[in-house]
Amino acid sequence: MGAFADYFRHIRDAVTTIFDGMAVTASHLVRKPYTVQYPDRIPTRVQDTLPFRYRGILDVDLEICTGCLACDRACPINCIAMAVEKNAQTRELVISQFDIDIAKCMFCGLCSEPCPTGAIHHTTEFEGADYSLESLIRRFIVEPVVAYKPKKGPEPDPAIAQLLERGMHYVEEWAQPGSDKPPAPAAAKPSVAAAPGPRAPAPKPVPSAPKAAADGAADASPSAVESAPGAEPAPVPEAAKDKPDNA
Amino acid sequence: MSAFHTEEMTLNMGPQHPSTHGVLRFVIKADGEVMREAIPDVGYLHRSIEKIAEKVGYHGFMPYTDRVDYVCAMFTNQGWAMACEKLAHIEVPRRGEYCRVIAAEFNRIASHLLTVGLMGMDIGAMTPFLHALREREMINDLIEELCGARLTFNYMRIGGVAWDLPPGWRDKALAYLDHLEPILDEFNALFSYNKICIQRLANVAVISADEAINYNLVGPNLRASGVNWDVRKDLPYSVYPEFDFEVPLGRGEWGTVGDAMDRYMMRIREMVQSARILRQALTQIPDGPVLGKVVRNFKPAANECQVRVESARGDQGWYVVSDGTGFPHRVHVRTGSFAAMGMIQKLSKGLMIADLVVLIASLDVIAPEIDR
Repeated sequence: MGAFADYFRHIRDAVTTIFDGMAVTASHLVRKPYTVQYPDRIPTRVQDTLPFRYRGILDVDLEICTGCLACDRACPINCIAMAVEKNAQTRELVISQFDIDIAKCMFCGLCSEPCPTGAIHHTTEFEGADYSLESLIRRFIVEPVVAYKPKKGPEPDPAIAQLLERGMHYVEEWAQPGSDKPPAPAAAKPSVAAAPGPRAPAPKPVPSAPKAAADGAADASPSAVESAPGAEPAPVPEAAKDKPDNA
Repeated sequence: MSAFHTEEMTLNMGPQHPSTHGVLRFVIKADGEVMREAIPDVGYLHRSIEKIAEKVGYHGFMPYTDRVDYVCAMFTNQGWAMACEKLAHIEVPRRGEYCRVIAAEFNRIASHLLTVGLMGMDIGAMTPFLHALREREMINDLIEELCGARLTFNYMRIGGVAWDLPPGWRDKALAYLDHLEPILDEFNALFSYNKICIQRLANVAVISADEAINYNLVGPNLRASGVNWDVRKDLPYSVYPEFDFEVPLGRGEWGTVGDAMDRYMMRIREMVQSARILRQALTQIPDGPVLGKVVRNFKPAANECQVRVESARGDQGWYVVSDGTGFPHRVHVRTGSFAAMGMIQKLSKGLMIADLVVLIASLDVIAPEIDR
């Protein structure tokens, strides 16, 4: 008798628990779908929705590259090939080769961490499929260029100042060893966009940066909550631009 | 009545079998549906990561540690960073330790979500897998915002972490935890308390406490057998002593203590505890730097050290020998999956072939962690 009772009890349990599960499934009919129809039928490109720290395909702003070779030394798999020599007459550093093998790159970010100006940086671009391995080697140098030299004062050239401003923003995202500097609020970034970039190797903390706006503030004061949406890291506009060497 | 003539059948499961969680091969000796034994054949995913450490130096090895266990890479990051810090006597700033714990516990939840989802998938339930992955995806989004990657994080550095929490991230993380706890109840209603799931997992591949200790099981697999051993509690590291949390143990509500159902429920309960740790960590996090001062040319004096972290797959040991140069002399990682693989041959005796899949899933072995 007991075996019969068990048998029917199991069936009853199975049916009721399946209905419990079905209720959960059915409740998802009225919830917002979570899936994204990539790559079509999305309102914005995925690249534009990615966070600022996203480690996508590497890009180099040669205009602000100091030729210090820090990235080359930091790369654990030597996917960066650089050649820098000193011009004997003008005493300037000349970069004659800057290749990054994207096929080898593992997107660890160790190269962009020591860069003093943020010249080498990860973009939010991740679609890099190609037909041959050779075309995945990004050659940034067409003809030798003179390395950027950090100026004492503000950067005179507005085009370079803009690049430098972007680069320093990238550099400041990284944790500075031992410094108590709160992350610079990204909301304040557009206002200082026109201002000249600070002297390259010594990023100075913004003294007026409201500490509450940084997430570091332990107390969730109302101002921190308010400024949070505005303080979202903005997607890098440079990431969207087409690479000429992509073809 | 003379016995019906049967003969032993040798079957290959893997290396490309979808339910072996990576490239794993089993040689199965079976009598009909019942296995005499299943011999695991490991090594298909051996990438000599320990040897690579001797070639790339201390800083450069950090991204490689992600590949030791790519499902919970934060713990391998942390293990390597802690080993180097112990070698060179480096102090990590308190905020850095908190960042580590926050990232690691989020990663533990993500890893366990994948495990419970895959357990459902392996026994033929597709829906729970998708529900678990949806939640994991939200954690991946959070971690992506924190460190820029979704799988191979490379978040930690010797001396701290590479990025501070981004502005507004803390509120998002707390909001996610509010969202996660009801979802776990929903997941239980969807799958854990389902009679079919219980019948399929309960009393399968029972591991007693003695066996678990003798075979050196670690982490959730060990605790499911009722052994109270958690590195976070028993050999505390980082800032774990500052948090109030419980170590769930296998209770055998649906069958025997130490069966597959216990190992499954262990993961669900650990997620609840991880959420509890995260809540405390996110509210208590102090101000300050996140990265200590570490020279780029990192050369610890000749020494050796062993550190242990409680990864999502259990007690993970990092043994590092330095010889005074910029490259470690020897690195060894002791991982939980490898120990679990050693037990499969014993457990598989008398098990149905279909239950082998349950066994592998419930031990939560990850192929790259076995071979390294």
